[in-house]
Amino acid sequence: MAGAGGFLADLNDPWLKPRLLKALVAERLPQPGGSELPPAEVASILNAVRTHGLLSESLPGHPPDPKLADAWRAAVNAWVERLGALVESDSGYCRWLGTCFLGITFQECCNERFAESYSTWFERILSNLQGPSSLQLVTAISCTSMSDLFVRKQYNLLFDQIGKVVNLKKEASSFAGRVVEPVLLLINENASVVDEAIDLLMTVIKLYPSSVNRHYSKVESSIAGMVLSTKVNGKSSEKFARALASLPSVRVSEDSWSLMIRKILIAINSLLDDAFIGLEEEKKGHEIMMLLVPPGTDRPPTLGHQLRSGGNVHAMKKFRQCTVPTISALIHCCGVMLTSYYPVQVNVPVRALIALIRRVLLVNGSMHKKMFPSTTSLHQELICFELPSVHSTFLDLLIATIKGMRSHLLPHAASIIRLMSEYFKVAKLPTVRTKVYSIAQLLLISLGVGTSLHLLEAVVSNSIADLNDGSENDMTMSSTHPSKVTTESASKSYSKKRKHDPQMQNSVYSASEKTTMSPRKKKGPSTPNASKEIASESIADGRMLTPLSVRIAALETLEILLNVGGSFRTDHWRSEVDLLLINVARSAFVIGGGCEQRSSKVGEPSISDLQLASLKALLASYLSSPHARPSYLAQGMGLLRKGNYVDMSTNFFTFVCSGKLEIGTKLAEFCSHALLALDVLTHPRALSLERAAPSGPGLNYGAAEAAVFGAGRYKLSSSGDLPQAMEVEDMYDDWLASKDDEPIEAQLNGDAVGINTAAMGSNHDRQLTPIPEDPKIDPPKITDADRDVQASSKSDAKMVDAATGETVPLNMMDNPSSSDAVSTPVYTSNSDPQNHVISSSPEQKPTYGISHLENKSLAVDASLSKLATSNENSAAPGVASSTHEAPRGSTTFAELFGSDSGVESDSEDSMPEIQDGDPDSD
Amino acid sequence: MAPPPPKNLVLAASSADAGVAAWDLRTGAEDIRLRPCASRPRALASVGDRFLAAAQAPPPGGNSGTIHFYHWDKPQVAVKSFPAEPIHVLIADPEGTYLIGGGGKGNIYLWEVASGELLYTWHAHYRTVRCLALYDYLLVSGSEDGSIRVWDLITMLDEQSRLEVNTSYLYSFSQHALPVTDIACFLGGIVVSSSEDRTCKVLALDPRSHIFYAGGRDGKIYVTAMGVDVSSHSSDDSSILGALDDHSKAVTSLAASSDGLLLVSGSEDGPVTNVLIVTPKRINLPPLQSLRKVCSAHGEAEVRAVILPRPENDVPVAGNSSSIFLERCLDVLQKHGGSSRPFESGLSTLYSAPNQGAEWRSRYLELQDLFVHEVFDQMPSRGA
Repeated sequence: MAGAGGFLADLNDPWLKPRLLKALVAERLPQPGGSELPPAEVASILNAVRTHGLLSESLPGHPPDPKLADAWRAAVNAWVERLGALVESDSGYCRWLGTCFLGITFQECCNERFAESYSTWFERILSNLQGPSSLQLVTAISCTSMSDLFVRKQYNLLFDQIGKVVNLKKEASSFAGRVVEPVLLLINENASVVDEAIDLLMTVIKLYPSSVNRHYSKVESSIAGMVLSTKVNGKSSEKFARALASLPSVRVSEDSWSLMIRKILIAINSLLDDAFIGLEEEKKGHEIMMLLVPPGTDRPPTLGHQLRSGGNVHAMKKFRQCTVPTISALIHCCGVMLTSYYPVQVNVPVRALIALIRRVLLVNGSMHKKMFPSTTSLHQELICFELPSVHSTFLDLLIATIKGMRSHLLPHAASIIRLMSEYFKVAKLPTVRTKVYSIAQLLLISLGVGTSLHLLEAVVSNSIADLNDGSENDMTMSSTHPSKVTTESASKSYSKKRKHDPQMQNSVYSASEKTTMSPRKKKGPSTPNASKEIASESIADGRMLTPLSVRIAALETLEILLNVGGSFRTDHWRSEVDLLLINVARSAFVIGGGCEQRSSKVGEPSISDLQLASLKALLASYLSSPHARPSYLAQGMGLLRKGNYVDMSTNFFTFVCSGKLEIGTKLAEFCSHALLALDVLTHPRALSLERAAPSGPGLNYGAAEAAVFGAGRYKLSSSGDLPQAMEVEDMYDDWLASKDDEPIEAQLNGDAVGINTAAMGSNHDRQLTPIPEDPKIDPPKITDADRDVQASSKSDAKMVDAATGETVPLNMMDNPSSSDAVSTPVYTSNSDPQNHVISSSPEQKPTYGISHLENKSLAVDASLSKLATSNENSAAPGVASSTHEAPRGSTTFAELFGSDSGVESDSEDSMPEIQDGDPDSD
Repeated sequence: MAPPPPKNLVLAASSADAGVAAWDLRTGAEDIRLRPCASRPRALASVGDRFLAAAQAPPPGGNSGTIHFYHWDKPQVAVKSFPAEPIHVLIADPEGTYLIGGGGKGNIYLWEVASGELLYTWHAHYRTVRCLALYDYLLVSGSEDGSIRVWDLITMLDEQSRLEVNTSYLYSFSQHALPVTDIACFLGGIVVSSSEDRTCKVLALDPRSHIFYAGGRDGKIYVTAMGVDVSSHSSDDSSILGALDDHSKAVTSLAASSDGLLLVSGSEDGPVTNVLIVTPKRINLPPLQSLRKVCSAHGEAEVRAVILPRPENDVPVAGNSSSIFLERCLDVLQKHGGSSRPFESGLSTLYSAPNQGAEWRSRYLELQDLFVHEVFDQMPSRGA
């Protein structure tokens, strides 16, 4: 065992510490008046003390080794004495260094030592603080270490015995009281150490409020003076605001809090009076004053004597340099007061608060009719220059109000909601807009479903505007565009052309994705003329630039809206929003594939944030869907799986590049979570018979269930049984007549999403027909696809590349389900033992199968086709129109199937295919 | 007597003047007994678990309503208030901010608890309000006339919104032929109502698998599955999964514990009209205000909105600042090449060295402003 000398046992030998400390004091710490240490040396001393816990004096063993204890105590004594000598030396540097290390000692030393030396240390630092020190660095560190002293004292008090506490508290409190005056002096006179001084003052207010009581008005006036003056810069003025906000806790009572917030609001209001001259109605300021100071009551004293600095400075300069920062500091103060803990219940002048916020947010920079002589265009320009930041601070105040008041805000919720709906129109700048979105989110969360009824329109329309910004590969966004017809026809001709070479499927290019994209592609940026045509409004150009942060905020808001009130008044908005979300998610992944490598700046949202937000919103849309089967479930599942998978593949890459790893795993994490959550919807056990049967009218006799549950085996064998067939047939009629799914599908096929249907139709057409593959026709198809890619512009081509790379898995995943879909109906309806023939005879069998299918469910198709606006050839007789009809028949059925039960059937086996098929994986 | 915090009390009240009895849910030991109290079914509400409110059944022939407030630790009534008419049902929102009462003439009253202010009152039904339920801030009310209405409180509390909507209620259901006896709301906007016509109806359409318990007049508690088939509810008992048969008389009230494992029922054989499971919270309560009889005149005074003390919002003091300061200083010193210049010229170099340019710039701008101003001032005077 090592002792005072000799070798140590190992790194953890307790004897190491006293020895190290002794060496430190003897060799490395300077003597008073000694030369300065290089900064690296100081840093290394600091490190040594903190890493090894040299001052902790925590002795191991029971009982502790007395020799060790003595040695350690002696070492720490030496350390403390040396610091004391340094603090009292003449050299500024030594005093600074000594105070620094003393502050660290407060944190590191043991309780007993702290209790012993507390008062000595206090006096030492206080003398440094009060003394006419020439060195501001010393004063600053004195403030800081004094604050550390109080914090440690408070900490010790918590662990002391009960009996002593009262006395100790009194002592500490009186110490704290002695600090207040010198600190105030520093704040008022010594501009360069205000930061540290205000920190110390805040610590004192917080920990020993009673000690400040005596100086209350002095403290208030000097803090308020600093806030109102422009002497301090942004960061420390925020500190001052926080100190002002914590001041009411010195005199805990309802009145002192209310008085303070009213004073602040009055100050803000009068500042605004000056600023908004000519930009609003004259009376507004007065109205708010009436709310703050009801007639018949005394006006509270002005805040901090309201010293107006910069009186001789030019008015405009004053506004920029003085008014705006002061307002934002005062607002910050209000926000802190509203959201932080106060021991008693307080009254909030909420109407004045909201009126004030309303007043500011409604100023949009336009001149009010009644012109003032003093208003110049320059003044207006200046106001407009500052308005966004002013608006932003007031939105912060609104956020704080909502957070602080919670359910108490209910009587005022309607007016806030109205204000927000109005302000959405004004808010164009990204920072402001994201804040408006976050307010909407807060309202939705705190007040629940009732708010969603009111905010629905504003949120939905605005987020659609923000998200629908002409991304290249929407399935459709034409629901609002007049060019719907052209797009439709484009997709139509496209699909017709495709029909001649139906083997698209097996190429490396993702047929399904390309088809869904291609109508859009053609209209998109690839051909500028076309894009002009579709986005004839000039807004479209502006929309292209919707920043990521705004889009993420919009997505998050939609997510919360769906979570809170997803099943309310669904007929008005759900179909549109669901479609929007799947489109945004798709485009996010397509973009993401394109610019994964492009490093984004730190602190800014990246494309993967957008992906995450879009998937979250998508999940919310699925889970809150009012119907048993959410629309677009299959597509979304594909994305989620891909998100899971792409992430794993890129993770390695990002790991190498480092930096983005975390967000990447976040996305992967969410994807797996979402897949689990969706399990409820997609697991076979969720498919009760009566629900599943109508969901796939193309599947005659509910074949899917038959296959899955085994009950169908029985059915299958007795499939010649007419009554049974009739029964099922009846079920369809029943469904058509009564089930709530029906109008939804109709809507999906119909007006709102016309193109979608067309696109999907061709999409599934391609998916279905190629199953009987014919290698001879294969090559031309690929070239065809290639040509398509070539046709688009360069950037576009890149996009397509990315798209195909990304979308192969999706396609692959859809594929097995649809192939199942084709074979199953034929299987059951024909009860043909040789049904495997289908896959070998390309030309006849599938169409036969489908048209046969069509035959059986003619009623379904007829009624569906009536609803489907995109199918102009629906009037054609089912059997005759073998080529024309087939895609349509399969459209409805495959679409339904794909979005409903298709997903379950391919959950496991599709994964290997993805890995094979994805060209990006290498 | 400070009981351990996680204490669940079962409260039971009766229409006979027997007070409110309380038992510990775990041990069964009798706790406090609050008197006097004689309440109708669904007239007992725990206000944010902070205190208890009970609307009193009026004495025969009496025409005025009474609402009693009780603290958890005092057996007597803390505050009595006298609303304009007898209150038949009383509920509070989960945070305990508002009390909502349904009156005998079909009126609904909405009070703010902290101030006692009657925020709004409106005529909701033609006959007595029999039951109330809250889903977020949507209020569902059922009446003796068999109708069920859904109210959006945000709209109801705002004058302008009230004017904008056609009907003040959001939805109105009138499928029940006889008085509605109870309503329960579930997540996702499902409402289950029961009525004297011996049916339970699922109102909103969001069928997900649920089980609910329904207490019957015959003293049985039915365990019922939801989402089987909406239409079959009235016709047969296929959805009833089972029945608990313990009471000899009608079940009046049911309560489930928060962990979902225990079901407490009150029945007329007690006779008990109300059962309630609460977890009393003892916080720094402001003095209770009695509820006002009438709305204060609009715009007369600032509506008293309050913030309750919430200890969880307390911001801790940041310690450890000395070392942060030292490290910052060391960084700066390092930049200065280890020279001791900062200690000669004071702190200003430490902080404002990078700012000096900005300072000069602002001074320059100030000067420019001043001169431009002067020139502008002189110009009109010269012209004149």
